[in-house]
Amino acid sequence: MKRMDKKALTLGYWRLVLAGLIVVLLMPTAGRSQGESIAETVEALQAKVDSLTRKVQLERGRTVYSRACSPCHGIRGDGEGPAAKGFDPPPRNFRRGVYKFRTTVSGALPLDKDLERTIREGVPGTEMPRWKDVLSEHDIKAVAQYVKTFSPFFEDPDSLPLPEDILEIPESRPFEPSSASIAAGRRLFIDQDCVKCHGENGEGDGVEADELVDDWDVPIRPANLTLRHFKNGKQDRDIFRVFTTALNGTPMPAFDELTEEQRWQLVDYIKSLEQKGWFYSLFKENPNQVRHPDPEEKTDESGA
Amino acid sequence: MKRKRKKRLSRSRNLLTVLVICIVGLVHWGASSARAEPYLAIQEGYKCSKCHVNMTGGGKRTDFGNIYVQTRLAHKFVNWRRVLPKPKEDVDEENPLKTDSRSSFFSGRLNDYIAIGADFRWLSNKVETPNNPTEEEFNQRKQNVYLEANLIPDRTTFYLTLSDGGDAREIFGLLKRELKGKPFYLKFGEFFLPYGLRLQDDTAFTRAVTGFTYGVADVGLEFGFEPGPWAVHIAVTNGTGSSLETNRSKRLTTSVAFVHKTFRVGGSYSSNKNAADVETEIYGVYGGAQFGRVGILAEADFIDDDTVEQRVSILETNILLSRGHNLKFSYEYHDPDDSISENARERFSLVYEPFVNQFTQFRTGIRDNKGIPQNDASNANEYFLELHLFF
Repeated sequence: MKRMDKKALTLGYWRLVLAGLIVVLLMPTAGRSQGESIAETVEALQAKVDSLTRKVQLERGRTVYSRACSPCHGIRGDGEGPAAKGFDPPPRNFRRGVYKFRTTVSGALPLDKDLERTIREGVPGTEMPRWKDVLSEHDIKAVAQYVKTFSPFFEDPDSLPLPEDILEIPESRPFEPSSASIAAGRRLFIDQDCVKCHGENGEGDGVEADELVDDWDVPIRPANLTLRHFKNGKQDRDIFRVFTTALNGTPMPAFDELTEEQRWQLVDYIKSLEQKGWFYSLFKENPNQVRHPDPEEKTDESGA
Repeated sequence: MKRKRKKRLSRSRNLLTVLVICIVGLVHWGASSARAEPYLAIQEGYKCSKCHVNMTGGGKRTDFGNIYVQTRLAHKFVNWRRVLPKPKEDVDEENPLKTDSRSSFFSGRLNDYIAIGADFRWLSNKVETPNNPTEEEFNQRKQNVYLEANLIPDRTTFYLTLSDGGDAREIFGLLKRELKGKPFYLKFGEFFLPYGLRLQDDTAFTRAVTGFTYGVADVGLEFGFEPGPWAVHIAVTNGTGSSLETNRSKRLTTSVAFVHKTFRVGGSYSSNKNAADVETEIYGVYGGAQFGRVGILAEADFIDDDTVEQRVSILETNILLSRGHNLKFSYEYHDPDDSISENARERFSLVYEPFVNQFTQFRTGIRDNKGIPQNDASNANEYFLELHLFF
């Protein structure tokens, strides 16, 4: 199948080259109308190649998904695979088109690179593994494209994120963490009512913690910020991103009304809550976290 | 186009034929046992059925089980396609079809219906028995090849273990359904009985003395119900496991467990009448808990065959040193006759178990046996190194 698709693509490529050659050869003598017609042909050919490429990618995505993802997410993408029972949190239901981890504004669909990032890095502290060691980059991209086919929202141009919905997450932080920034972060943590859910000391035991439900009325626990794992990654930039984008489908809001500096201060405070030491390491660290270590090198959004 | 398709189909058929020949060859060469690892289930808070096709544990791993091994359990995933140097002409950043287009992920699934698996254990063993010469042996009795046919995916499964050596084969049909969202199943055929913690080590007292080892499978019917955190298994079998079959009575084996993310407790019961109408009752409790990287599991059983009452137990601690590296300490106790004092035997084990990659595990350790001084064999020291290849 793969070889045939490759051949078909190669054929498409040569057709394109041929069409290009015709354009070059005819350009000096052709009239304006002929040129336009050739350009249209080239465009049509390009569209054909693109469509073929997408078809091949989706087919590959379907194959990889059925082997690697369907045991949990289900063959229909509804999060009800044979292994899904008992998982907390449950595997994502792709049919709803709601994704927590994005670089788009609250409520918006994720970008391709957001889906690819989650597949690549996994979700620490959950059953979702890090696939970048196992799947090729090509397969990760193919699966991301296939996952989108489960939700009609990705097919609807009106639902896709607009350019202004895409958030720029700074590559680096503007200042180093300090006791002052941690103290400022602590004040924000209280002022912004984070304590109501995450608790006075960030242990996920706030007064409203037991009442929280997600968008589908399923009970949901706020994160225990003293543990070493953060589902969206534990790099400063990852935590900053959560404050900026919110977690769709959960009660976690965006704090985009805060200034960038304030959001970095919150990051510093959250990081300061992390438990350390041998006792934590031996008796409290989640085995899942031991098996899902943080990336050794910081990867950029494209996973390069 | 048609010719190409035909050619492709014939190539697939050839591949399948070669695969089947390989499997049959392997089995004739000698195959047997896959072992469950209850400490991993406790670490993750999983039921046995999460990772094993046989709902009570052991044997072929499920698709999820294979994913778990490859993405989380193994110290390292060896991506052999990345290890091999790429031909220069294949490096094309712009064309994803040319570069980095294949993954090394292999779960044994051949298509939507058929999946295969295997376990091969090679053992080097040294036994020092007081007043006896030291014994050293190489052993490869533990070899299994599995075939799982999902005739109706997630509903009707045919399962076969092709084994050789000391281990019993399993061959059964599995019908799975749900009752108001609560899964239940019916297993019929020849299978291992659902009793206690299905430890990997058949020589563990709780397995060897109770007789629930990988060497004993029985023919019958098993019903399982796994609503929420509960796992209930009831098997009615011929009773050939520990007595001659007379068809006058059946063996009843049952196990009930409550499985939480960080702990589990359970109980088991088995009753069997042999040809001489002697009834053996075995009952016990088991459980486990996980505290960070430290996991504890325990089981205590009582065996009453109308003449002798035996007690047997195990306490095991597992420490997850780092991804793929486990250190195990265990203490075992066996009182072969409750009415006689000071005849008990004990066994201490220290085992290091690295899963070096997605298909390879090493196990090395020492076992120190303590028994009555008159019995040399029950005071032996064992040293072993095991290589386990699996998928």
